[in-house]
Amino acid sequence: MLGRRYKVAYIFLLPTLVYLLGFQVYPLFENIRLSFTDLSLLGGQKPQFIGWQNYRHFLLKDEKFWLIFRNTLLWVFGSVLWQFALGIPSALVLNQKFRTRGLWRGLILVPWVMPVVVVSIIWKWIFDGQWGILNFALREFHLISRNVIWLGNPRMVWFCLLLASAWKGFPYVAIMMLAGLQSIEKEVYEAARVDGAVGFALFRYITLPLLQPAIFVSGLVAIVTTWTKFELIWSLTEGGPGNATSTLATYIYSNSFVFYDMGRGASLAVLSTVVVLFISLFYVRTIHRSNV
Amino acid sequence: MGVLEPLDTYIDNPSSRVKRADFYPAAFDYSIINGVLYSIPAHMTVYGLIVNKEMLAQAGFDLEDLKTWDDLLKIAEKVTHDEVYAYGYAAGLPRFAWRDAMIAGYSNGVLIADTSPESRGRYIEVLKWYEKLRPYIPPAAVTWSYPDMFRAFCQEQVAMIAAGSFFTANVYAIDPGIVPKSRAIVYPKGPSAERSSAMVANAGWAILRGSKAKDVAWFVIEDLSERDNLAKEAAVVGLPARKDITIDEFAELAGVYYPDIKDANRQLIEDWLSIAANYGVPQAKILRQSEMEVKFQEKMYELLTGTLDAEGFYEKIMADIEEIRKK
Repeated sequence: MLGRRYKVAYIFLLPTLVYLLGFQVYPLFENIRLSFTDLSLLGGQKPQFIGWQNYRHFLLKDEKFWLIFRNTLLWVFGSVLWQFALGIPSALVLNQKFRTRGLWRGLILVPWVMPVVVVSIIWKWIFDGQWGILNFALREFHLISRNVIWLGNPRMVWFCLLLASAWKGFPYVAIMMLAGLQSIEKEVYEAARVDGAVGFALFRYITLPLLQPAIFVSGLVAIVTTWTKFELIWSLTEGGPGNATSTLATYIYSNSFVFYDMGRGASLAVLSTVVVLFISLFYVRTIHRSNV
Repeated sequence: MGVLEPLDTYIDNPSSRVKRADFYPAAFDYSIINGVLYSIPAHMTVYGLIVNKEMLAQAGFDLEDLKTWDDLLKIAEKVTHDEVYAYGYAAGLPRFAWRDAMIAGYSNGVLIADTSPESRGRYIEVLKWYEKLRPYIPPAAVTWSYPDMFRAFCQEQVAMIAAGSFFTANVYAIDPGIVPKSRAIVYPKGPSAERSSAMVANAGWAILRGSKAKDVAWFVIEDLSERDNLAKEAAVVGLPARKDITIDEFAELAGVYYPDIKDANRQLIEDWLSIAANYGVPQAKILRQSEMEVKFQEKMYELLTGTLDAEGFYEKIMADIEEIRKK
């Protein structure tokens, strides 16, 4: 009787299992296998097993790899910090009682629900060095006399990319923080006020510590999603000039689908996965330890 | 490469409805690699310099004054003022940064993937050419792609661009009114070339190697390559690869897609075909070009922003190209 019940359960699980094996597990292991070959779609040669050569190339020989790795860290942690810098104050405001609160809670989600490519085009038009709205506004107010090439200036380009990324991602953080704020009991604040806490002290000693679970979860999600967020940079700069704004995600794409070097692309993907796993593990342990 | 079926036996068969002699030589030769024919051209792309003749006239010049790089510089000096520039360059994307330099390279008798010591002088001349052009290129061009460059040309923010015979198809949606003001000429001659050359490519039809229905595929290719079919298809985006299609006939077909500028587009078609016939050479096919393009664009960005000189560029790009070739 019990076996028959399980049989039905297994039948229901089968489609998911087939999907996971076919589209998650197999590609993962196939990617690892490819990373040890010199498979290229150019040249017409059969792929050979070349051991760790692809990994050695990136870690020891490729002068761009470490620049790109540094760019990736800047992109991920810069974006996440900006997202929190915008998300927490937004949540605090949206947690107050005011007449159009419901409307604003809905509107704040607009950047988050917009397709990334649309967001990229909007920011490209804002930052465009020839026809951009930002240059137009700055010139109208006589703040600049000649256009600034925002996306062509090594000092400005990262600021622009991080701003665009933060704008796209901060609503998620804001909503998560809002949910966290709503779970804090009013009595806790009342008790703190009785003890003399006011203003910033309430935020520092009550709100922030009690928001930690929400910060932890949304921080982890933001890190992982930004790590793989490829479309925004690709649409704005294609990782250029050269590789100046490339991240591991764009470098994987270039190697695999622009240079058709599947072996190297696969090894970069493995390296990227390993690094993000380590960062996530470190993050989880650090947060866990601080909670203990 | 082992992906496509060689087509020599098909085309050289006496019963074939497609003949080698039907096509413009430069377009046809683009389909040949190491003496083997791999595709049948459908439409041809010719590259050259597109000039806004009205902007040139306002500066006191006409197309006849534009024969050499020095001529272009003289004109550029007069045309560039306030925020109007002489030369548009889509230097923001590797593919187009490279292509512009390819076009300029052909006008000076050098291929920019050429690392041989004999080409060093010509190659550096090309890089110095961009150094000289720098004041006449909009600063924002370091972030431009082709659509940006075409938009700037349509808005008369630049007077000249190096591009291909797909020009009309690209600018028509932005501003068809730019076509009557535009003429295409061969890219002016560089100092080391006896005469300029224009690179010619094609898009065509091929058969996958290993196909089980090669004869059927060839039959379809023969149909598609017939004069009328090929002309209709090519009229959408470019030029016909077959030389037995007259300019009038082709301009009429293109007029279906570009009705507002039928006559002006006819002039451009005539310009492009004349460039192909008089200066056309098959565009070089460069293995791993896309990797070279990224390295090239990175250095071109530095050159255009004044942080790298032509000599430094040359040394670095030669090392990069050699490294890519070793793979």
